[in-house]
Amino acid sequence: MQQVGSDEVAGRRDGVGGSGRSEGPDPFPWDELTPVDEPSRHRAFWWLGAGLVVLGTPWWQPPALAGRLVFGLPFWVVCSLACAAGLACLISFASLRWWSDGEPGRAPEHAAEGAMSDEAPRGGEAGR
Amino acid sequence: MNVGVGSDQLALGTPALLVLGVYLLLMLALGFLGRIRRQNDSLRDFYLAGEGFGFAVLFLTLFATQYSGNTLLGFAGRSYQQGLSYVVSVTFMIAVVGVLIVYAPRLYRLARRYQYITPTDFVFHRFGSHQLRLGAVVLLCWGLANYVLEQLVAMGHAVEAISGGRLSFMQGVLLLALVMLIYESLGGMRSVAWTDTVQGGLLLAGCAVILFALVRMDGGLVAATERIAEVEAFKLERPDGAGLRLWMSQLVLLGIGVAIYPHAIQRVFSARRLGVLRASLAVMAFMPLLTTLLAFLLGYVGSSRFPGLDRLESDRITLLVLADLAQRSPWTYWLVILVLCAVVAAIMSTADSALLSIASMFTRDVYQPYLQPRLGLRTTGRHLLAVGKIVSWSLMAVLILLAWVSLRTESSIWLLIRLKLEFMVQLAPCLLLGLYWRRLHGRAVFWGMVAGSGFTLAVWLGVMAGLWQSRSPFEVSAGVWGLLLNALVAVTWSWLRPREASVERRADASSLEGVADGALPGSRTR
Repeated sequence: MQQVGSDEVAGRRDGVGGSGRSEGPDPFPWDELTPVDEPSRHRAFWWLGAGLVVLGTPWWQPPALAGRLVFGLPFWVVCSLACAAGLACLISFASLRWWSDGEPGRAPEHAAEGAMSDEAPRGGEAGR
Repeated sequence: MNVGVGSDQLALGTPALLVLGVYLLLMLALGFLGRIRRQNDSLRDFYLAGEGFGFAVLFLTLFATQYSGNTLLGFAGRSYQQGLSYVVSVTFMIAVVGVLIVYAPRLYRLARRYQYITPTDFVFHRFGSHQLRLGAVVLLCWGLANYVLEQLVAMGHAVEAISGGRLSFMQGVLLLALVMLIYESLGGMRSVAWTDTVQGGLLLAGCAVILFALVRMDGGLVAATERIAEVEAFKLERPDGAGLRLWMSQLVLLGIGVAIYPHAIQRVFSARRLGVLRASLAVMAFMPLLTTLLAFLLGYVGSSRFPGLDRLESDRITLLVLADLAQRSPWTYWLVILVLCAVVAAIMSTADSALLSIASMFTRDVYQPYLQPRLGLRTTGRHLLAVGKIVSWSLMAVLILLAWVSLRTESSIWLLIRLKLEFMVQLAPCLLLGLYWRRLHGRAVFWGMVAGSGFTLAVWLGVMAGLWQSRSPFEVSAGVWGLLLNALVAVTWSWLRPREASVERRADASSLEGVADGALPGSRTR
């Protein structure tokens, strides 16, 4: 197990108060960064999450419907709370099913289902 | 935040003080237990409890840390002032967990492999820039110190309210701060997490019961809505254009800002294994539907029972509603005592975690790399822990003094102590983009952070100087404008840098073998 120290890593790039200029190879372990699966690789996570946030924002309900009381609260508030509950379900599901690091009992091939890329994370590609 | 309430409004008598006393003794006992159970005198063991948290402890410590006194007192006040549009608070607290599961999979992996102790360990590992590390520490510590100060003020008011004025504001602050410092110094993260477990349990029970009572009593929400429609109908209205901008601004600022609280990140590092972390976050996603929803409804129902309060008075709405409930029956009296203990627990659990986080960042990211070598002192785990504890106690002394002074002076300078999240959110590009985008460069991130924080500060100073009225231009928080500027600078600068340099650097990328082995004497190396 390695440990990120203090001065040693610093010495490879810039000095105290330095410019931050790169002078050597980038030793950041990019290859070790990505787990077997993670929520951010699943399109459904982003689309469903964004959809629930947009639907939960009270801009779309017609005025007559928005003011109607449901459980003692205006319909638009209940809509917002329902979307928040949906978002919680999505996050909970993503945390349990779309996040894996090859632990025992979790099949790595699950990572490929619905993933944006099987080769590399989205962000990793962006930098290439 | 002013959450005080007159002793005549919430005199709960001796039983409340006894319950508070038992609770504080339990906290001290857990502190001693944490001390006994320590494995060694290393920073990892003290600040991350040896990465040994199981599901129950990790979940409850995450829960207790995320929900502060501000949630139950401040959010209710905002709900009172803003009306139903503050229902966005439930969404942004859920979004916090959403942001966490975007970056935690990568950060947790790195933290286990490279034994991170603080979030700035990642910043330095990723970018290798001293400027950036120190800039990040300054922003985070500023935000966290203000956060602790806010909790201290809330502590004073809460104890004053529980004791019905028999304990003064300052006696309350000193009592709770002392208990907190003792258990934190004894067992570090282990004690803090165990006390958080009790505090989180109290908070869960208190919120569940009071939510039930609010929905059932006095005709419930239907009656509350009818009363509000008669007196303050604007609070029922759907947000218009400006209201929607404020909605999105709050969603971004709090959804991202709270997700990168350093003490929350350190709890991610503390998970015993990935399964525990995943399960804890999966449950955490639902907690706003209990806790934040309760605060929202407290403010809403409060505005039906106590209409017409001004801004300062409305910050006390939770206590006013509780005082009203306490007078109804012996059952509701004990219920209110439970909830007030939960409020104190929420305040203490957040303050102790923030304080521990500040001490760890100062020790790990300032003292160890910069001050200790210049002072020529021998670095041992015990020595570093002593430094952290001295920082905790000294900072707490300063903050208690500031809490005392803030009560006696009316100055616009106090506006600056509310500048917390707006600063901390400026770390978002560094952390979120830094984990996903290889081309992101340290200098670009640093100057982006400077631009974002500088812009936010300028807007706030302008309000203090009377140059303009609002800290939210076009109903969007200055912190969000700052974050946009920050991200723009960081991305554009990194994008425009010669591509060859970064490609060459990546091609030659080497491992960190030998880079940092044994950097922390006394720490556990696996």
